[in-house]
Parts: sequence; structure tokens; C-alpha cells
Amino acid sequence: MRPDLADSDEALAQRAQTDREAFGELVRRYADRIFNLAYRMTGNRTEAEDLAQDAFVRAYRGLAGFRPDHAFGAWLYRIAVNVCLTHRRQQGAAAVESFDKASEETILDTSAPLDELAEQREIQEAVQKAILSLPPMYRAVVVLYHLEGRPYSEIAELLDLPLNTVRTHLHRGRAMLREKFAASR
Amino acid sequence: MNTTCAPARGLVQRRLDGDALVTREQEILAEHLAACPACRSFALDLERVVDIIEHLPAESAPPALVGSIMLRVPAAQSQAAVRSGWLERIGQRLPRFIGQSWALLAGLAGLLILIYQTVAVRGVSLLNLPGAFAEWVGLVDLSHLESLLQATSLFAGSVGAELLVGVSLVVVAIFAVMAQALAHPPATRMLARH
Repeated sequence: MRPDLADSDEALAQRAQTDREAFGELVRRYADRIFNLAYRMTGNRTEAEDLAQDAFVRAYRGLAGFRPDHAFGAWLYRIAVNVCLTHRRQQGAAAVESFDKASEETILDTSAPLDELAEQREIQEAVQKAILSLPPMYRAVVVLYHLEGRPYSEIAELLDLPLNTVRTHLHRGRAMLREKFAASR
Repeated sequence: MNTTCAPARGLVQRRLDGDALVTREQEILAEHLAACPACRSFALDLERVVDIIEHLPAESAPPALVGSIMLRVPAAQSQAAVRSGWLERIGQRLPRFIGQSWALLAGLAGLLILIYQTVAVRGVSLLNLPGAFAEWVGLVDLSHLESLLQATSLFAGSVGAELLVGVSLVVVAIFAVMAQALAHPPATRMLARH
């Protein structure tokens, strides 16, 4: 059966267990969002592409465990965040350290851009790199809350964390970003 | 940073979370920010950082991403059979099993006829079989079974015909199993196509 644009994500997810086209429609709906999440978590387009692929393939394999009374988007985000965090752990401490150092240097680069647009772009890049330098769980919370607009309760469920821990992670993450931002000026 | 800074910064964070501060909390925060340049700077920087984060341009996925994902997603039906629960798996495999089981039954019947042919009709004595198995088998009186089979067999008394039926059933069973295998290729073959 050809997927209809009016079909809900949850209905498509149920059909996708036996209908590959239904899963294709879900991929089309979520590809940009999951790629963007992976990009914010890694800062690298190639890695983000690989991680987005892994997340969707893992979701497809787990469709039998999807409960249609839950939101498909939240379920998919949970898988994607786990894929990103696992990837980060597999990268090892050395890679994290060198990347963080590079981020720091960029943030502390005070060479003034000539026009406002370039300055704005530079500030965005600096903030993106500051996000990448956060501890992985802080980063996940900041990205999910401020970039993906997910509520606390959903983030707590996605990351298997108590609500208060999510709040603390967000506050500490933001305070660390602010310190880096203030130091760069 | 004095002792009132930490609570004030907590209120700044809560305000950023969209929490509605009660009137008293708003007053405490306003008074503190007016008197503390460090916390005022903290509040302004934090708001600025959040504003920048929330306006970071969205990264579009590469155009080939959807296609790459679908290449890695196998055909839904075979994949569903591989990953679904044990009950569903039984349900999915039962028709195929039934399709194969008649062939197995035919093969078993053919083998029984051949054994009967060898042991009972051709007069090979069960008591000649070695060891404890022979002793156990020797206790079984096959004469009733023999007479029953000969009475009910369409080919009663015809040793050659029974042999032919037995061999034929075994051969048919082998062909049936091979045909089933060709009609239902293994999952790995299905995966390779996608």
C-alpha cells in the first residue's frame, strides 16, 4: 500500500513492519531532523551521516518493539541519541581531548571579522564547537532542549535520567557554554 | 560571587527554562541583578548564548541519505520474519512447515516400508542383531504387525511392489524438500538482492 502523507507516524511505523514503503516515508519525514541531531552531537557531516543511517537501520530492526500508543518521533530520537552517545564513547578519550583543544582554540580566536555576517557566522561556529566540548550527557540535554525543542519530561525518558538530573545537566551545560562564550570575547 | 549569587543564578536559569517565577522571586532577582555586575553579566551572556543556540541554522541531510538508508533496509517481510517474536515466528513459519511436513511423513513412511521389507518380509532375524538392542527387539512379537500389514497392504504378498513403493516415497520426499528450499530462498539471499 502506498504511504499517504496524511498517515500518522505511528500508523506508518506499525505498517512498516511488513511494508518497506511505509518505512521509507518515515525516513523521508525524519532524515533531516535525525541528521541535524547527529551533526550537533558530532560536529562532522560524514560522521553525522553514518550515525543517522545507523539510527534508522536500528529503528527498522526494532520496529516489532515499537508501541503505537507512544510517539514515534520520541522513540526514534531515543535510538538516535543512544547511537550518538555510544559512538562518542567508542571514539576514546584521545579523540575527545584533541577535538576539545581545537574547539577551545577556535573560541579564543579573537581576530575580528570584517563584516557583521561573517562575525555572526563565526559566533555560531564558536558556539557549535563549545557545544561539542561539553561532556556528552550535558551536550545531549542542551541539543535536545534548545535545538530540538524537546521538553524535560521527554528528555528524561530519552536519556533514562531523573527529571531533576536533566534540569541540572541543562543548567550546568549552559553555564559552561556561557563561560566559554565570555572567555572568547 | 557572594552567598546570594548562587540562588540568583538559579533563578536566572529557571527563567530561561520558561518557569514562571513568583512575584517574590522576581523581586529578589531584580534586586540582586541591580546590585551585582557579575550576575548581571552572567544573565546577559546566558541569554545571548541560548539565543545563538536556538538560532543555529539547521543542517540539511545530504540528498543521498534517504537512499543510503533504504539500501541498508532489507525487504520488510523477510526482515519481519527474522526479528519478530517467537510466537509470530511460529505463525509465519507454520505454513511452510506444513508444506514440508507431508514430504517428511512420506519419507518416513517409505523408510518404514523399507525396514519392514528387510526385517519382516525378507526374513532377516531380529534376534541376530547384536547387544541389548537385539534383546529388546527380540521381545517384540512382530507376527501380529506382519499379518496386519500384509492383510491391509494393497500389495500383500508382493515383495517387489512394497520395495518399489518404499523407494518411491523416499525419492518423492527428497524432491519435495528440494523444491521447498528453492521456492523459499534463505534470508541471506534475499538480503543480497537489496
